[in-house]
Amino acid sequence: MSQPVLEVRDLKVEFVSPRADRPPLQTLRGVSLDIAAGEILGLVGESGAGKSLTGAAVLGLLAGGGRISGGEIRFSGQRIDRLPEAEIRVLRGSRIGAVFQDPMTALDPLMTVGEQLVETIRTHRRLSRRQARDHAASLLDSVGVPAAARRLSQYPHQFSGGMRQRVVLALAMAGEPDLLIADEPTTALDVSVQAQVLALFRELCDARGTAVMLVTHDMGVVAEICDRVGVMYAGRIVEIGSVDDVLERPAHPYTEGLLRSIPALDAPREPRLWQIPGAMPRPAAVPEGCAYHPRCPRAQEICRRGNTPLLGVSMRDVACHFPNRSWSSTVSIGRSSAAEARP
Amino acid sequence: MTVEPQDPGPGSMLVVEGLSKSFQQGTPLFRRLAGKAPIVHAVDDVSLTIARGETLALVGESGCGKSTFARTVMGLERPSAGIIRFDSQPLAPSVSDRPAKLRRSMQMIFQDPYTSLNGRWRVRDIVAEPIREGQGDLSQSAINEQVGELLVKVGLSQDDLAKYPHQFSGGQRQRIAIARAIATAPAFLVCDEPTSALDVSVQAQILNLMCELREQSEGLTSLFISHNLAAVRHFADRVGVMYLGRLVEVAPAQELFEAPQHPYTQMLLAAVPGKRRGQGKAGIQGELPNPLAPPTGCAFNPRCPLAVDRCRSERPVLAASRLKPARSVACHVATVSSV
Repeated sequence: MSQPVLEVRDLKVEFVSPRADRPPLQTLRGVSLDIAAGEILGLVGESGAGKSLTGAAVLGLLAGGGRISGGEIRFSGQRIDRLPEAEIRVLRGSRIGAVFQDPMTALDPLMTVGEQLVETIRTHRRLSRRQARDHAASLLDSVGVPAAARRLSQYPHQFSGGMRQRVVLALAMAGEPDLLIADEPTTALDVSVQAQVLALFRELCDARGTAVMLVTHDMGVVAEICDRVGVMYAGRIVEIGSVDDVLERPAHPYTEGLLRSIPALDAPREPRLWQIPGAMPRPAAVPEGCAYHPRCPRAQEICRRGNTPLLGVSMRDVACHFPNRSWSSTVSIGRSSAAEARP
Repeated sequence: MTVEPQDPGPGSMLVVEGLSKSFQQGTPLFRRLAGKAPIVHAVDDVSLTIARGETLALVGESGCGKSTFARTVMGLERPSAGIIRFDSQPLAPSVSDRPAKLRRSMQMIFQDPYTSLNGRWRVRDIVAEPIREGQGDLSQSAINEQVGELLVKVGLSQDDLAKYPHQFSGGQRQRIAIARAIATAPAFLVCDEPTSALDVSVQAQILNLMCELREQSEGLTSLFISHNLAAVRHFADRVGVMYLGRLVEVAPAQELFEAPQHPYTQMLLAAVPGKRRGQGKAGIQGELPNPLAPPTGCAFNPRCPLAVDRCRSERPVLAASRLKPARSVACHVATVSSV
């Protein structure tokens, strides 16, 4: 198996409090994941689960007193979590691209789209202005902006929301990155525009073999374009595996509950939606043991203490002492025989 | 619901006829200098009826006019044209001209529970305000008792009375907003994207709460504004689809989702991301046109896979289907095929 483009191992992030007498807030509590070339990994979870933070840590963009307090991040085999700012800057934008939720914050309103693309291209490649402009036009064209050459001389406000996000995608792709971190890239877009931008992501990723980390709260988006998905809860990945396995046959009680609580467009209408009691704990008040146990219908004594490791169950990794195994009646691929032997 | 939605008589709670709301762009100075300011027709000649006890949802993408419609009905915006009747009585255009009794019977829940609650007020005062209005003679203890009961009803506790909004999560704040909206036992409730700012597990809790309240208060009529089609399918009895200020399709919820007739409704449903893995997405193209310069004829024609010449010149009217009078669609092509 070829080496993953991105390897994250037991990544921990904490936020230092401005007040010296308070301990740092543990916001990521050991996140591990791999992304292979050409693969789209979705990271889903509710607000505060740590999905955006994982992306920001990989990009070296932790702000507001956040710092990596443990674990490691490898990009193409090379550790990048301790690189000096100057070196991570070079990586970012050339080999690691980023797309965020609001396209307007990623674009300079005072520069034409062409100037911004040319600047980005020339930062990473030795091209003349003219060559860079031609390349910019072909980039815009590749993200589906009509009349690309003419629109280079327009400003961001002259583009619609969907077209702006395409421009941002073109900017992120300008350095031909091996890894793209996309944080809620279609959340600000209308559903018909979202469908088009998602299709574009998939196309670009397939054509260039780009590895993508797609941070989203929308299970539909995951089902639509991701290959694999990691479900996050209170600073940890609780379940990670192929989209089919995790979304069709969830094993972690949180994944099960989350999926059941989403109203469906094609299932029979029930008088009530499935509902998970309570809310996700804040970083300062994450309970001992499995963070989900106070809300979990299957929780037992063992869930209240110690660490719940991610173990292989039914073709995916699950951090749960009592995963749903009803899917595994025919196939059983546990990494740990101890985990399989438990009731 | 028990009453047929077509009945324009006592069965109708809200009757809207030819409602329009347009906004002028630009400052007064600009208008003076230019002589004429561009006009956005946010809501353009919309007529619909909501039966007593019915939940009607308005769906559509941002800028389609669904929120402006709701705000105009509530009197938060003055209509440019059209008549709104509530319980057979014509409504004054502005909420401040409506009698207190009427205002008490029409309430609203807003999208963002972080901005719709006054952060300097205690929960007790936020929920008590609509109770106090028009009933100045109620004692403090009577009000406190009512507010406490309301909080319990929406899943909070009596202990929360003295707290401030910032002490609650987003879902809990939306519960406070709901308690405030139902404090006067309204007959009509407008919910403008009530779960859009919430996480999915919290969305389920709030939608369930709203279902419960609807069942408890028999005959509660509501207008539910949302861009979340799955939530609408779960919650609404009837659905209206808006595009660029106009209603393009109205149908009972189940029928709309099973067999959408307007090409825009079909595109909207196909665009919802999910299990289909890119299937059936080929027809999704373009974006909402500039509302300052809407296309002639049917506003959807530049994006429509079925558009013919007539669609570019003649604006289709919303007409009831001959076979299914509960359904109506504004489309030259769909109308022909369904008759």
